[in-house]
Amino acid sequence: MKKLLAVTLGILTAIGGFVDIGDLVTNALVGARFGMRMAWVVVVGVIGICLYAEMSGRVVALSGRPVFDLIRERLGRRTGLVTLVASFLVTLLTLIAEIGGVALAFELASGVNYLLWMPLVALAVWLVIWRVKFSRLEQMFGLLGLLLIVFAVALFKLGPDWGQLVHQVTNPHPVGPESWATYAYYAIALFGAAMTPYEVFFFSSGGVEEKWSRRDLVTARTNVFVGFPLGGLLSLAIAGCAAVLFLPAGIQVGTLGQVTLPVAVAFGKIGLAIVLIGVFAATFGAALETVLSCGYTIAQYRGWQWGKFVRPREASRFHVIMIVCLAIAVLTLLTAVDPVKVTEYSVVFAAMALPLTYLPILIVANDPDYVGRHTNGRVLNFFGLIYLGLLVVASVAAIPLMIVTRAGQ
Amino acid sequence: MRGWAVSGLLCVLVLGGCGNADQKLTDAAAQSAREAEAEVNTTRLVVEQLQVRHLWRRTAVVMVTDAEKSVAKAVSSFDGQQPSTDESRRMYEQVGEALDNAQKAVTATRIALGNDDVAAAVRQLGVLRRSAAELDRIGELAK
Amino acid sequence: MTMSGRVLHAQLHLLDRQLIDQADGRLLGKVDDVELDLDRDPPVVSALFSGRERIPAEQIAEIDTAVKIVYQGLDLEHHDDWTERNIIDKIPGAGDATE
Repeated sequence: MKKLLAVTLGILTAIGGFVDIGDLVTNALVGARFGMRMAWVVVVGVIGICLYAEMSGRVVALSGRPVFDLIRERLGRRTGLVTLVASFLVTLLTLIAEIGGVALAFELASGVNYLLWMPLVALAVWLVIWRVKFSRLEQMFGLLGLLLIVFAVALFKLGPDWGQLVHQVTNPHPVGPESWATYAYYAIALFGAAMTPYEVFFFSSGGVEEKWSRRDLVTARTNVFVGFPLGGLLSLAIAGCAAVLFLPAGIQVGTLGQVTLPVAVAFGKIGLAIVLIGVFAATFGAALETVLSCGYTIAQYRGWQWGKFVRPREASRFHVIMIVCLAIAVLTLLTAVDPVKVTEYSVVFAAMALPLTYLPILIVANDPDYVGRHTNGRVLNFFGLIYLGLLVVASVAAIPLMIVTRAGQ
Repeated sequence: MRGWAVSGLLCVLVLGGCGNADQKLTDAAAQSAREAEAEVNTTRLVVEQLQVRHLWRRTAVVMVTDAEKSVAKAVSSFDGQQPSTDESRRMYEQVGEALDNAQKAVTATRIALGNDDVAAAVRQLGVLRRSAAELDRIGELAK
Repeated sequence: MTMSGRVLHAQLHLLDRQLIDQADGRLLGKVDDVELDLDRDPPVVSALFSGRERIPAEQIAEIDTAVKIVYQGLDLEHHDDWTERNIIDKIPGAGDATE
């Protein structure tokens, strides 16, 4: 019974934790401009992250070492350093976006300008990291994040023309004023939002924090294969709501308020309250995950003591890194840069960093030194390589498309 | 021989640039019109939802303030255009006026909501709808 | 304690590996370099380097997915200690386990 509870908890946490500010903004934006014509990208992205999260989970359960730890060992110091720098910078950018997102959620709920909330949010993130136990932190925000299911319910309440939505799903090409260039650009953005690097670092480091062993392999796999696809459905619901409300009116989504508007239209103030709490939980949880990942990547590359499973003073450099990252986030947001714009850029840069992040995972998951008998097998390697190819294509195409479309206009 | 080719190329570039000035203006007009129309429609939607009590006023203020900022961006990006012919100057003025109307309507809505005057905001609905229709026509014309 | 004659691939099994304190599992850094005694045939690992510290081979306890060492007479945590003293300890709760 206790095992069932643990598994359910893990799944629920994975669903709620899958969606962050990047998914919220990108899916709503894409839904408003392309309807459901990019649904296939979400599906492809979810399959990708399932494959690679399973690999990292397997590596950490069988070797006790998180994935980033092993990147330097297998790729060598210099390539490992390139991976570190790229992953760290992308994760830092994502952190800035998440903290901005939390502040925007508070602004919508209170009417008080988000810049006043923002330093408080960063302080709260630090306090939770400093004091709250890892498992409790994950569960609390993961479960609260489940409130975002209100998007799926709202979609039904809005009474969409399901035939039209299905038609959009099965006709994945740009229409109207949209070009193939913007279509491709946003496909890459959506890909980056679904497969952000920090998710894998956090998942595998979290395995060490929670002291996974061989016995936890089943739990880890269930979390991944049930939780992430359900999280993907949530993403599709967010896009669907935007498609139903905004596409016919030609409204382009550029603010968090617009992302949540469909739920208000469907359910009024109650719906708005639910969705804002859900957005808060998802983005705050993601802020915790990204700041921890900032610490994990650097500390694991250097071999320093890291983790919340030891007292802060025993992992001093790990904690200092996180404090510095939060300070950088606050300073960046204080320049009044639009957090939604930061989010839009962060998912594209995440897509660019993906090959560097995922190649080492593929290598390590095939290494009997780390996983014993449980190496990848031919089928998994086949799909893993296909995805890697896809990631390389997306990564290479990102910058040219960004220039050609002027970042998606 | 090469001198001819180079100056010929220069001529084509200059003429191409001149011809494109109108197209560039038309594209910019369509882009700004679409952006402004989106914000006007958002504002309209927000007021309608506030009318049926689906939003808190403070949330509506935030949403409309965001729309106001985006409209201002669309207006200023179009203001920077340089019309070169008489015809394009006329288009520039027409589009500019439509954008200004949109900006005025959204700002008026924001002010009304800020003053907790939902009735005044609701009165703006007609203006907002007309503005959106006007901008829509401009967006269509440019195609 | 001597390492029995295991044949290792220095690059794959030693370099950039995590160093762990055998006694309490603390993470101590990475293997930055390997010192070989080339007078023997085949060459024998005589020491590991991490940062500025030299870890003699006798202190290598186990080589697995990480390298466990007997942490005596070495200071691999110099920088962490500095950070601990000057920054982290100044913040209340630094010594508390999380709840």
